[in-house]
Amino acid sequence: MFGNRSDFDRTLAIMDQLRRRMDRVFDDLDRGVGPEPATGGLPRVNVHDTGNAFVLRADLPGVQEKDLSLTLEQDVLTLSGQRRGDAPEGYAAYRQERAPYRFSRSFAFPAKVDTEKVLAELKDGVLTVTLEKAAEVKPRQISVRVA
Amino acid sequence: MDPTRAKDSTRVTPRVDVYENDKEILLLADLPGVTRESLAIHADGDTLTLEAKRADTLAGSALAQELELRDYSRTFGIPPSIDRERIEAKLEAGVLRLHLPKQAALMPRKIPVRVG
Repeated sequence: MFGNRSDFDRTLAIMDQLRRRMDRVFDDLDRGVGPEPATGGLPRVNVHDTGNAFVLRADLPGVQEKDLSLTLEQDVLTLSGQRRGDAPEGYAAYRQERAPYRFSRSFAFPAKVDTEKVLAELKDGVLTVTLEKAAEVKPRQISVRVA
Repeated sequence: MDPTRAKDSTRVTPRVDVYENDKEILLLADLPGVTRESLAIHADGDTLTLEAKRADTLAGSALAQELELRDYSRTFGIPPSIDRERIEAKLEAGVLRLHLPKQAALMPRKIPVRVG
């Protein structure tokens, strides 16, 4: 029975092939993007030392303010939260590189920070946390007197 | 190697999702750090190009650098059925939602069956 495919079966097979080809109409002309790298963890961050403060920047596209939590304990800052899925309903998915995820990452800073002076801003999918250094560790200008 | 690094080392390939229904193709792209002003979308012939600049550089000395604050670029081939005049883009919280509507004449139509 299986060895003897009818013309109808063949027609269906061709239609199937055609449909699969149609699926590829939205071609990616660049190289596709693989899964997020396992090393370093998410979100990826940049941390800078501006002298008076540490500035941490994290890419958090699609993360809502209510889904983000920041805690500072001693000199350790913890970012945690989640990025919710945003797949629309009633659509077929052709390509999915943006996965929903939960995250938690902690950062220790190399100098004492003033826990009262921490500013966090979430804008355009980027979180910026500015942690002012404690007064005793801030760089000080030393004036030189001419004797 | 970072898979988001494009072949051109000065550009980063943004992550996207592509969806389709009867009416449109919907493209979602992660573009953190991009504002409306720094985003350009071109539908030229049968290609669609997203280009965006990141202007959020940080001052001071770097202690950790995992993010590449490079410009984004990615090109797609789009089918002729897309109505180029009605492409709509929305940018919110670093996520682009690009609606690519299909031309009305090419949408599948329901054919009513009359009982004779």
